Amino acid sequence: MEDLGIHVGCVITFEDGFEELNYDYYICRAIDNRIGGFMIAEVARLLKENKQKLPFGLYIVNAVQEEVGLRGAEMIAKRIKPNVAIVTDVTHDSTTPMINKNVEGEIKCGAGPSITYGPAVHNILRDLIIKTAEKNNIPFQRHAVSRSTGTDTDAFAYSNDGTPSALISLPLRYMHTTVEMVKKDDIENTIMLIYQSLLNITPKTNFRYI
Amino acid sequence: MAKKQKSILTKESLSFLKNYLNNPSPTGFEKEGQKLWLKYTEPYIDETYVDAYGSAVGIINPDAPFKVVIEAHADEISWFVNYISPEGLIYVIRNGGSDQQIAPSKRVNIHTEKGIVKAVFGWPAIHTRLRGGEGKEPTPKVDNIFWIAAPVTVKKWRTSASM
Repeated sequence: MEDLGIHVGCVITFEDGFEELNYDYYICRAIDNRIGGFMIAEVARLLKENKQKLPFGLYIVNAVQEEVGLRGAEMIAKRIKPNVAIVTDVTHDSTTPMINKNVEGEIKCGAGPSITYGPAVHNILRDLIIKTAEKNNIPFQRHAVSRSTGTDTDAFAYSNDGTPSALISLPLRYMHTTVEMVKKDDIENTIMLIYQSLLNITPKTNFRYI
Repeated sequence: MAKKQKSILTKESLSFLKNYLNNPSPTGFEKEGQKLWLKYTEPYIDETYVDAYGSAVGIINPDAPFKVVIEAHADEISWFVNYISPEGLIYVIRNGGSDQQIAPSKRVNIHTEKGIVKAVFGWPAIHTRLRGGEGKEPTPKVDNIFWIAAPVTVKKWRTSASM
């Protein structure tokens, strides 16, 4: 065993890779949340290709260690001290068997990104995102959470002096399995929603509740 | 019927997605994935930095006082080698919210300094597992039923298969 380099502390991953299924579904292990890093990278690409000039500094952040308690986001939020944060992650498609919609709410693949309601989510930023979706005919779903979102949104929201933060999630089936599944349309719509929302934010946007 | 709009995703971006997904980036060990991401985003941003634990940041307009973040997380759930039995079976603990119920019968990569070692999560056969005990189906649990079959055998097989 030692000859092979295996010792206590070595990391083990499942080997299951990317495949495209019919009806524009993608499957892979770790779509949670490599797809998020992909989507924010695509936002950067589209901004550049469409020659969009932003009236603020845009920090495209691919944070480590979310799966053990939002640790990477906590560290980087302190360093950047942003004025606004839009976080993207995956969320559960709740329409497959053995999931109780009375508890989980209803989110499904193919119906667009999910926009989260909850105390950690900043109401004005969230409404800006919802208006952006409506104005640009981007389909979206609403999701409510008790207390925290369980995503890096919480880390940003409660960082520094409090940072207006919102969560745009990609619906995903079979989370933390080796066949995590998402739909291409939802990926495109999530990218567009983040992109268009950025175009509606300026340093003068008023994020004050009162 | 409405004509389907041209996708905003390109051949290049989908090729990046595939490579980025196929490359493992376990929690605490995201370095290789971050390198791929930094390389892909490089043409679209003005400046980058990476912090002490590996979070990567690409910045457009780095001098602007008002700062907006768009964020995702780069890590994926995985397992740690926790104990190697005298028989060469590896017991694991979680790194993140890994699901023991889906592990049996899966092929895995063990990440070592010498490279990747292929192995499997074993599971007793349907024929034998009920004869062992109380007649109840065993349930996969992290602490008592997990193992990864001796990778030595796998390596031998790989060597001969590749020749």
